[in-house]
Amino acid sequence: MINSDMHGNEIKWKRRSSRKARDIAARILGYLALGFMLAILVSIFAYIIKGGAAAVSWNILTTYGNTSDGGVLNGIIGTWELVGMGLLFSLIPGVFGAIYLTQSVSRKHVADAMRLFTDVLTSVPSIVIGLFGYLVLVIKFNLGYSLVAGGLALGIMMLPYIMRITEMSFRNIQREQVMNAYALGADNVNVTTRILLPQASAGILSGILLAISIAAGETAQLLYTASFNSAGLPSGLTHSPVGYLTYFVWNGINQPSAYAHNLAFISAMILIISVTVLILISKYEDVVGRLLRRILGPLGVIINRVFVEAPSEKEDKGTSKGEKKWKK
Amino acid sequence: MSLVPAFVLITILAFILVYAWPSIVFNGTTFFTSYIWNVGISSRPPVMVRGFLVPPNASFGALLFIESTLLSSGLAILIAFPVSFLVSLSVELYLPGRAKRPLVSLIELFAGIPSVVYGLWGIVVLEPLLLHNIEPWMSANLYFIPGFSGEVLTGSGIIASGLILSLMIAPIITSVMVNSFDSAPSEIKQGLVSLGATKWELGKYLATGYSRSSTYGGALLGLGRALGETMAVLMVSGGIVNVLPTSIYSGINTMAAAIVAYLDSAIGQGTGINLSALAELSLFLLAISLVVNLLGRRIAGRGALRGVENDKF
Amino acid sequence: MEKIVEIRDLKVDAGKKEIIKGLDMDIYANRVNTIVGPSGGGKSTLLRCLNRLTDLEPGLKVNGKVTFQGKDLRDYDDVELRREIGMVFQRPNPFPMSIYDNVAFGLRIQAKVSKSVIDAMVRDALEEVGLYDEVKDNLKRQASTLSGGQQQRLCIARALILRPKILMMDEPTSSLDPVSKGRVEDLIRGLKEKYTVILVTHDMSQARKVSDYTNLIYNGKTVASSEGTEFSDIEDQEVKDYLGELAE
Ligand SMILES: Nc1ncnc2c1ncn2[C@@H]1O[C@H](COP(=O)(O)OP(=O)(O)OP(=O)(O)O)[C@@H](O)[C@H]1O
Ligand SMILES: [Mg+2]
Repeated sequence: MINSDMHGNEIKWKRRSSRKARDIAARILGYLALGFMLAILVSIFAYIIKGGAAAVSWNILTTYGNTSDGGVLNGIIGTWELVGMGLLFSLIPGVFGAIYLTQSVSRKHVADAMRLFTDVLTSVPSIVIGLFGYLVLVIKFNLGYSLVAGGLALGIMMLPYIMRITEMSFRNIQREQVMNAYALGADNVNVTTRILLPQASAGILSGILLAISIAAGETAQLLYTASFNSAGLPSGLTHSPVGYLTYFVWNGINQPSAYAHNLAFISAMILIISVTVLILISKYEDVVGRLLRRILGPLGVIINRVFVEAPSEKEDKGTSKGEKKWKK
Repeated sequence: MSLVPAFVLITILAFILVYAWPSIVFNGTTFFTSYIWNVGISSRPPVMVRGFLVPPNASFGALLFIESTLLSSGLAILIAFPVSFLVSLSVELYLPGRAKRPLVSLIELFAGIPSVVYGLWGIVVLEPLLLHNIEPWMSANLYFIPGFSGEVLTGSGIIASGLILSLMIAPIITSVMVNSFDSAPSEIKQGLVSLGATKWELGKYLATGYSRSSTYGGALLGLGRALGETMAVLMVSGGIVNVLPTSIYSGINTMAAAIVAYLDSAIGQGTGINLSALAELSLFLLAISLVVNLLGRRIAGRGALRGVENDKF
Repeated sequence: MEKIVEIRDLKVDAGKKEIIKGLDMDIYANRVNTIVGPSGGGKSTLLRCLNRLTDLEPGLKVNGKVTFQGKDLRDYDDVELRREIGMVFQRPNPFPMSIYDNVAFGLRIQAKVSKSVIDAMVRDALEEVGLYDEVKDNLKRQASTLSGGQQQRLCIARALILRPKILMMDEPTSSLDPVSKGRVEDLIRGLKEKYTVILVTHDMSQARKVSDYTNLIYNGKTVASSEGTEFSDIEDQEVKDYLGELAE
C-alpha cells in the first residue's frame, strides 16, 4: 500500500484545514500589518498637511520669522543653503571615491575596508555628528555657527549614501561593456567619462536625491553647528547662524502659542512634501533615468572631448593613472 | 577620495575620545552605575577632583539614559520585527507581484520622513491617544504583567518612544527581509513548494532557515538605527531627569535626547567637565551603535554570501 | 495500460508568448513516461502545470483540461496535489540543512507522525534511492557536502518519503557525472514498481534505457508518442531533423 510506512501503518496526514487555517491567518495578519503601516503613513501625511494647509499663507512663506512670529522663509532658504553646502562637500569625494572603488580591482582588501568604513559612517548617530561639529568645527576650527559648519555636518552624513549608491550603479553596468572599451584601447578616464558616468548617471542622481532628502530632514546635526537665525538669512559663510525648517518644527511645537504651532505644521508640511517628491523620483529612478540617459549620454561624450585629450594607442593602461589625472 | 569616509569616521572617534577623556577619568565607573546627572553648583568656585576642575557636587551618571535607550529601542524592535516580517510576507508571497514595488516604495517612505515630523505627529496624535485611551486601558486590564501596573501621567515616555521608533525602523527591517526572500534561489523556493509547503510554511522556513542571517542582520541594523535616533525620541520621551522609570508608562530620557537637551547649558559652563561628560555619553552611544551595526552587517552579509555559494554547484 | 493523467488541449500563455499550444498527452500508471523535445519547447513548464507550481507565477495563464485519477487538476487542493505528485529538479536543490532534515522535511510539514516513524521512513526513503549505506553514519551532516549525484538521489528520497503516486523528474541527470547518472537511471527503472514516473530528458540513449512510453514535444505540442522510443509516423521534416540530431 502506498500511503503507509514500511510497517504497513497508514500515515496520518495533517488535516489540510488546520494548515490552511494557519496560512490564511498569516495572510490576514500580513494584510493587517501592511494596512496598519499604511494607515499610519496616511495619518502622518493627513495630520501634517491638514495642519499646514489650514495655516499657510503667502505672507508666511515670504517673510522671515523666529518660530513664534513672522514667517518661515529663512527656514526654507536656509534648509536648501545648508543642503547645497552639504552636497558641495560630499558630492566630489562621494562620486570619485566610488570611481576609485570600482576601478581598484587589484587591491580588493583595501577597497573592502573602505566600503566597510563607508557603511559604518551611515550608522553614526546624527547627534554625535552634531556634537563633533560643535566641538571641532564651530569651536576648534573657529567657524562659528554657520553655513560651512552646518554644511560640513550634513556632508558627513550625505557622503556615504552618495558613495554607496554611485558605486552600486557603476557595478550594475555590464562588465563586458567596460572590458570591451578597455580592449579597444580606452584608458580609465575614457571608460569613466564615456561609459561609467553616462550609464550610471540615473543611479548617481537617485543617490544624490536620496541624500538630499535625508539631509533636508535633519535636525540634530544642525542645532549646534548652524544654530538658528531668526533675523533672516546668514550674512556670510562662517560666523553667521542659519535658520532651517526642522528647527521651526521642533522649536515651534514646544512653544505655547498657537501661532508657533502653525509655523511648525507649515514647516513640517513643506518638508514632508519635498522629501516625498525626492524619494519617489529616486525610487523610480529607472523611469526618470530613461529620460536622463537620453540627455546625458551625449553629454558624457562631450565632456570627454573637451576636457580629455584623445586616447593614444601606445598609452600603457595603469590602474591608478586615470585616477591621478582626476585628482589634479 | 574613497579614503574620506574612513578619515571622517576616525577623526570623529578621535576627537570625541579626546574631549571625553576628562569625564572618563573624573567619573570612572560611576558613569555606568549612577543615574544622577548633576552639573554641580556653578555659582560656587570649582574644586579640583582627580586632576580636573569641576563645579562642586558635580556627578555624571548615565544609567538613566542608557536604560531609557535600551528600553525604547527594545520595545521598538519587539514591535517592528514581527510587523516587518508580516509585511514582507504579504508583499512577497500573498499579494500579486505587481503590487510589490509601489508597496515597498511606500514602506520606504517611512524611512525618509524627517524625525521632527515623527515627533510632531507623536505629540499631536500619538500622545493624546496613549494618554486618554490606550495607556489607561493597559493599566486597568494588563496590570498583572510586570511593569504594566502604574499611573498614567503624560502619554510621553517608553511606549510613545518605542512606537515611534518602531515606525522608523520597520522599513529597514522590511526591506532587508524582502530582499532576502527575493534573493533566495528559486530552486529552493520551488523545491519547498513542490513538497507541499503552504505560503506561510515557505515564508517561515525562509525567515528562520534559508535567510535566517538576513533576518537577524536586518533586525540588528534596525536596532542600530533606533539606538541613535535623536529628535523624534527627544520630542516624545518626556525628558525626565534623575529618576529611573518605574513602569512602562514612565517618561524616559535617551542618550541621544539627553545630549541635545543638555548641550545648550553645557556650552556656557566654565570648567568644561560638563561638555566632556556629554562627549563621553556620545562616545558610548557611538560605540554601541557601531558595534550593533557592524554585527548586523556582518551577519546579514554572511547570509548573502551563503546564498551565493549555494547558487553554484 | 491504466491512464493516471490525461492532458487535453493544454495551453500555457506567458503574456506575449504562448509556451504550450494545445498539448495532448496521456500518462500511464506504473510506467516510466518519458518526455523528449528541444530546449525551450515547454517540457519543464508542462511538469510545473501538473503539480500546479504555475499557480505561483501569476504571469502564466494555464488553460485546458488535465485530469489526475479521473479528477480535474483544479479540483484538487494544491498542497494535497503536490503530495501526490512529487517533483525532482534539473539541478539538485538540497535545502541548507542536514541530510536527515532534508528527507524528513515534507513529512514534518505534511504528516502527523511520531519521531520513530519519521526515523523509519527517512531510512526507508534513503534505502529506496540506495543512499542509506553511504550516509547512515552522517545523517546530521549538511546536505550540501554530498556529491552532486548523492544530492540528486537525496532529492529523490525527499520526494519519495511523501509516498507520491507520481514522481516527476526534470532532466535529473543533466548535471551529473556518468557514474552517478547510471545509478540514477537504474533507480528510475526500479521506481516504476511503486510509482508512476514522468521523466524529462534530452538524452535519447537514456530514454532508450528507461522509457516505457515516450512523448515527443515540439513547439508546444505533442507531435508523436509511442511505446518504447521508436517513432514511426512523423511527417514534419523539422521534427525529423530534430530526431536525427538527437539520435546522433
Ligand atoms: N514564467 C514564465 N514567464 C515567461 N516565459 C516563461 C516562463 N516560464 C518559461 N518561460 C518560457 O517558456 C519557454 C519554455 O520553457 P521551459 O523551461 O518549459 O522549456 P524546456 O522545454 O524545459 O527547455 P529545457 O530543455 O531547456 O529545459 C522558454 O522560452 C521560457 O523562456
Ligand atoms: Mg527544462
